[in-house]
Amino acid sequence: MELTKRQKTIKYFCYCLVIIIADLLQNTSGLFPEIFGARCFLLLPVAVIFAMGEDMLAGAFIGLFSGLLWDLTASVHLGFNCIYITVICFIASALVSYIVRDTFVTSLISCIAATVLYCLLYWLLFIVIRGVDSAEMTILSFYIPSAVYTAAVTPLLYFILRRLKKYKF
Amino acid sequence: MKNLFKSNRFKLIIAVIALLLVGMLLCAANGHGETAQSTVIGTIFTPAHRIAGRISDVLDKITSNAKGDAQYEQKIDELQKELGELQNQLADYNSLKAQNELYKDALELKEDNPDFKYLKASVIGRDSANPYCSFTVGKGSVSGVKDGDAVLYGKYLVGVIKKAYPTYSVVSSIIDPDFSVSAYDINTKELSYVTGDAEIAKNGCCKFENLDSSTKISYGSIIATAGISSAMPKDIIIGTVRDINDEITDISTYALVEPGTDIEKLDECLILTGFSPESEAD
Repeated sequence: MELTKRQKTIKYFCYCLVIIIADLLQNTSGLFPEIFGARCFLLLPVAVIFAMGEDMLAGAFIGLFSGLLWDLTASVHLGFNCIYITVICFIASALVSYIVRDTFVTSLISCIAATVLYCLLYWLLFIVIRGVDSAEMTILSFYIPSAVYTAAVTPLLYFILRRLKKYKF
Repeated sequence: MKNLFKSNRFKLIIAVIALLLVGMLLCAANGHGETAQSTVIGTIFTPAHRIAGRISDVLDKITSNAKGDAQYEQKIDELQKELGELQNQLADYNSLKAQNELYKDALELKEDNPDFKYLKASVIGRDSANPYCSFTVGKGSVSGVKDGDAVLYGKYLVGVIKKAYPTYSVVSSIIDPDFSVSAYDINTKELSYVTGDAEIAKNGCCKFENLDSSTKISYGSIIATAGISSAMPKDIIIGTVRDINDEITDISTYALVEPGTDIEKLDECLILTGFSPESEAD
């Protein structure tokens, strides 16, 4: 059943609130646990899971909002997070609109793919191309463990966020 | 699927992405490294990060008290202060011994340089995708902070302002491979530079590199900024030498420098504003 305008407003307000909380948890030191130096990039799965239930425009704007928040604390970005998450969320919502269903498996695969691609791109653009010595160490000691950590947290996030997505506002 | 590419929504999304890309290219071209959207959104959301930072501190204290290690932390703080004092005394001693009138203790920087202004700032966030401990502080250009200002914790250098936004600033830490500052050993007066390294950054250390293979720098030596052609004043303590190793790629040697404070756990810092190389030269 189509949501009314008021219901949609409340829904997107809740989505924004969850994204802000995810951003604060992710980008505030000590709020979300680090495991052996690996960090959880909460914003990626949260944005992708939300975008997968939306039409493409809403999905892209969810990604845009998430990326803008992440860029605030980014040390090297030039708007990278903003563009990347917008594109990924747009693709995720387009996939659900045209090709696949929004299920646990498709969400999990999309989130993992988005996280792995993010880590790879970030490493290539901001570590390798910058000419940092021992760049390969960074991907092994930080980006791969962080991607694994994020992937491990994704199922839990999916089941929490699914309740919100299915909630009749 | 064909309709997707013809739809107005698709065109709108592409327009938004194109705008972001243009913004990205513009800021890359003018070398600012900051996008307009970050400046605007950052001004709005900085208070939220500040509150989250406070929550993090409270949680940290609660867990510390629950673990019963509050007393140990107090003791560690006291010992760190004592260590800092001792290092300062040693720096003073070496300075007097060499009759170098230009040497100034990091603690006395302000007395010696009335132009220096310290701005206390809270750490409100960090870039989770950056493994080199870069962080965000809650003071920006409206408070007088500018790109390249030194960021200190007590008497120790912890980083430099990489980008100053109106109400917040992004700090590049001394373990970041992008960071580089001229430095010298206060005992041997050997001069080189300190920079970060991806491999040793995971241990929270940085490198005092490009040293001669017959270097006299040893374990425990204190490394301070040299103030050469940089916006960084002289004699700010960077850290203590923990190890001396040979470079793999050339015949030089480097010293592994442990910063004076744990950068990852910082919750407050001082920003040194009002410094310019010209004012120090005077």
